[in-house]
Amino acid sequence: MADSLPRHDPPTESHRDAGQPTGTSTEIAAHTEELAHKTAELSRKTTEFEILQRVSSAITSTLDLEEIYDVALRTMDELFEFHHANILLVEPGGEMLAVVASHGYENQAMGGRVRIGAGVIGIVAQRRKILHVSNLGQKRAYAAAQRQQMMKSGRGAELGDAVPVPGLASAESQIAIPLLIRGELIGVFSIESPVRRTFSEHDRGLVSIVANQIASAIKNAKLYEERSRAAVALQEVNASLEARVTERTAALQRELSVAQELLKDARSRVEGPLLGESPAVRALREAIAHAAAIEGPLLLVGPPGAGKEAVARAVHDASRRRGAFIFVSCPDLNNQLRHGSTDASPANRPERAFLAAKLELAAGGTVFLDAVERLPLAFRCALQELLEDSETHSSGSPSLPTARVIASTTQDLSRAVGGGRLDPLHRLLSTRQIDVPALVDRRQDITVLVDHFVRRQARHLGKTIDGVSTESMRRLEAYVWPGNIRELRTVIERAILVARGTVLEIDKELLDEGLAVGSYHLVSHLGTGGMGEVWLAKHRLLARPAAVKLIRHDVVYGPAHEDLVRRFQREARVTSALRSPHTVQLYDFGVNDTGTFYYVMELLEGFDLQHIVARFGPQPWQRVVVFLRQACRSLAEAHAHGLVHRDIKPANLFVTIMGSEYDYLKVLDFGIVKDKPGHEATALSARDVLQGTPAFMAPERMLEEGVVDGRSDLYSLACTAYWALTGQPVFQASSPAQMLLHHVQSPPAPPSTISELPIPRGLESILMRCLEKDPATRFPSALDLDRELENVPCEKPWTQQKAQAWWEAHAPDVAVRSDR
Amino acid sequence: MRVALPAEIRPVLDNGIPAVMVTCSGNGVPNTTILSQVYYVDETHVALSFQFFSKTIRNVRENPRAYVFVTDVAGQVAWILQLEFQHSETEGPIFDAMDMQIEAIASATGMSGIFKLRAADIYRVLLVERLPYSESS
Amino acid sequence: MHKLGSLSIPTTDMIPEKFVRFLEQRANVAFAGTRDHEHVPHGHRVCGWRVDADQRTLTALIPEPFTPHLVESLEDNGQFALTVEQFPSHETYQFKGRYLRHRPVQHDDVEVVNRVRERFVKSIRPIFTDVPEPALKAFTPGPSLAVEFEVLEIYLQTPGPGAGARVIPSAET
Repeated sequence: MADSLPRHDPPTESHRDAGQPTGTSTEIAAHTEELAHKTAELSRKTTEFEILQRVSSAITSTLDLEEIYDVALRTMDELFEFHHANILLVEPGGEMLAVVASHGYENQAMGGRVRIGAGVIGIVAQRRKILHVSNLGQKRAYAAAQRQQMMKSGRGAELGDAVPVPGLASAESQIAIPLLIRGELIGVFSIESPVRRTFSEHDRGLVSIVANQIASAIKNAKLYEERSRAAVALQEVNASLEARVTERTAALQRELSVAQELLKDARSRVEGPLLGESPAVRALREAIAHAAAIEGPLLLVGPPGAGKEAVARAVHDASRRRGAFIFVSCPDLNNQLRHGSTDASPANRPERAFLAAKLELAAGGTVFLDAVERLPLAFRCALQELLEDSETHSSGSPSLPTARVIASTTQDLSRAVGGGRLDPLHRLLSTRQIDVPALVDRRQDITVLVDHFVRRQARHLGKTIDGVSTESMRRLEAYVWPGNIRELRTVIERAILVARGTVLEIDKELLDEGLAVGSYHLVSHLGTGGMGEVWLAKHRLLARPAAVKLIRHDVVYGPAHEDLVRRFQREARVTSALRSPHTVQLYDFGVNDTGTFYYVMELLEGFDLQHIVARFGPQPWQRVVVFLRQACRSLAEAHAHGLVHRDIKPANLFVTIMGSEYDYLKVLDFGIVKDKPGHEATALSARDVLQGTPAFMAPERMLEEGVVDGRSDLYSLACTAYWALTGQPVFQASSPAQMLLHHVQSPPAPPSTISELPIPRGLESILMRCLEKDPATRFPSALDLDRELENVPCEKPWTQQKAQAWWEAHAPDVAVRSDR
Repeated sequence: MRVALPAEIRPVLDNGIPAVMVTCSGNGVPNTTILSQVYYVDETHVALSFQFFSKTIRNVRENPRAYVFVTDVAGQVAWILQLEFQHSETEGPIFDAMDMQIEAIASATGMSGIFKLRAADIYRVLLVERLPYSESS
Repeated sequence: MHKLGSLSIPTTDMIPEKFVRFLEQRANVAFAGTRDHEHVPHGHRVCGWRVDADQRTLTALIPEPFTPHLVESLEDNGQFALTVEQFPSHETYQFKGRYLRHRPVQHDDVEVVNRVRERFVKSIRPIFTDVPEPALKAFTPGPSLAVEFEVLEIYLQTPGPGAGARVIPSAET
């Protein structure tokens, strides 16, 4: 720099011409002064430029508002020495400005607020223009003089209060500049001086430069802050969403697990009944496979709880039908229709619409009609129509897949019902049939079934069960399981529920509870009759044993189910009111939770007449008369109550020891079903024919217009006596139908002609009269018969001693117990 | 004597020391009054605030000539301006700038609205004379 | 009655005592206005003033730099408007009147100016603390001409909405 300075040579003309300093010292001094002034000016501007550059660099390098404020205010300090500066930002709402940063006020200004439009700062914010005010001291004094003058002239009320603004009360000069971003006001930058009376144009320019940078930096920082907040908020939302998704996923997974468990459970319920390797279940599985391969309705026949639904599902699954498996409970259809139907008008056939909807729902799949024998009549007709329509359409290969109908029943619907006519619906359903075996018919599967149910239920309850005790397994295998697989499952479930250890114990009581019938526990199976099974039962509280007869479902379930229920209940009530000592006592009757009708009778020890004759041969006519007369006394009371036994036969005449009386006879199964007088049109009668009691059946029971009354019982009693005396039935026949025909048409042979034992003529004629085809020619009543029997001459009556001797000889254990 | 306002007069016009203005009515009666501020417009124009309908305002509308005296105590110099009233503005940058100044001070001193600027009277500078104190003492 | 333009002003009013006190005890800045034959207004610094014994006449003391156009204007039309202020309160009154005569400054005129100067410096000192006292004193120059005029009207000139209101004679007059 020094080298570039020209040497100070004496001025020459050329120097003058070139504008070089001329000779005089004054000129030189002036020039030097000017040069110094310019140098100082240049230095000042260079410094300012450097400051501004630094400010620009510092402000644009940060997105932190506090740092921006700090840089701006310190810069003001550097540029204008000690000055007071405020940065105010517009508050939300746009009506107020608030100090966010200040310098020189010792934080007194922080938080200060000013309304937009008030004072220098407020006016600047309002007008969005820079304002430079100078000599504020003078102007405040001038304004004060004006105020005083107004006060003195009585116009003080027009005066307002001075607006307090953050800043110097004694500021002499102030520059306030709006901070604008694309015309939007974000705040005001204000610089004040208590000393300088004014800021120059140059000063205003510097402040403007810094203010513009501040505005941009603040805007960017705020944008960054907003975006950071938005990013944080977004992160929080994402986190929240993620948490919710995770939670929802976990919930769905839990639901899925539950659903899978339920499905597994449902499958195991389906699979359970098909487990095992017994011939019965293997045959069942073969039948399932065969049924799955063909189309058309399918009927599943089996006792309650045998697993008919499982078989239906197995057929559905094996058939690979793509549609749904729809379960329909036939007994509940009326309820479902009442609750689900919106149009119950008969004209619209809601039953048909209901079933059609189910078939449509199961299109391509299976509709399973459970307990179809309990299908209400209106539904029966509708189903029949739908099945017939389906047959018609299937021949034409419809484009839409149809539902396959699988029905279940506890009775064999392939046989005739209601007067010998086949029910068309049953015919439609019975084209293909699978017999589902009772559990007792597949006993060897009990072990694997028990294992299956134990594992499943233990898993459900979260218990560890290693196995079943040997004793318990033996008990399970020996049990008769009237409730079949369902009952087995229930017993296992209950046992696991109360199990304490890891080895399952199933005691007798647990089994008994599953066979509770009313207040009685079924103890052991005593026998099976045409109408059901007879069990030894024990009252829960009383010591008195009893006999419980469980009526087979098919006896009372059928088209007239509800009517039969009412009749059964009525007959049972009437029967229980019979007091003849020769009528078995009816203690109780009802329906258990499996829907089985039962009645509870007094338990008798002894033999029925069937057994006595079968085991001990034809009986002496004296003894038979003793039996007959007791039976007559029982029948007389019943007939007087309007009850007809309808099933008098050797098996229903029980001989016992009652107290000290030997050969005490009790009539069993009294009047269970009695139709209206004059008509015989029940399943029972048909059942009787089919079950082999035609040998003792009065002919009027087979006739459509036959009147069945007490005389029908006398006919049967005579048949029973015939057999007791001869050891043979009244008629010999190769088939039940033939037997029935004989009763209707053939004259019976006098018993004396075939008996090996003597039969007095008097007794024979009595019996022959009872065997008259026309009831009107028989004895009018049981009492009449009894009187006739009493009058049969007898030289060697059957005495108690003889009876006792017989019992002691042929049933000593019974005789001994009777002595106690 | 010049007709262009020098830069050094600008701070004096707004130095807070009231200026003196002499006008003359249409029928020749002078009026001497005090001004708070003379606003620099450009080298050849100044603006005076019209806040109240005073004698001065009436006079210049009758007789456009006006005399203004401003003094710079610290600078030890006074200025004399001979002006001629041109027109009155009620909007525009000059009016806005004057209004901002007036309103800022007024609102800060509790006199907002009382001294509201009604118009900015624009004057052409006919003559500027500088009088150092040493010369006027 | 001396006609001033088209105005007819009564000449018998005295300057009320309060204004006399203001002038003699508080006012510290003054300026006068005249107009020439072309109605061009002229201004004249007034460095001092005195109330004459009749309390109807004021004498304004004019420093030399402000004497141009003064006498010829006064002799042309006699119009004189003296505005006197107390700084920094800005209490201000305008005394309008009729030029009577002018004369050279006398010794007691200088004394008057000194008192005014003293009052001015005392009032302005707290405001311009950075200005040397000689500079403050220089604000009030010495007189070079005395102008006597009869006060015909007094106006309130204190800055504010009421500035310009005539107080003497009252507005009803």
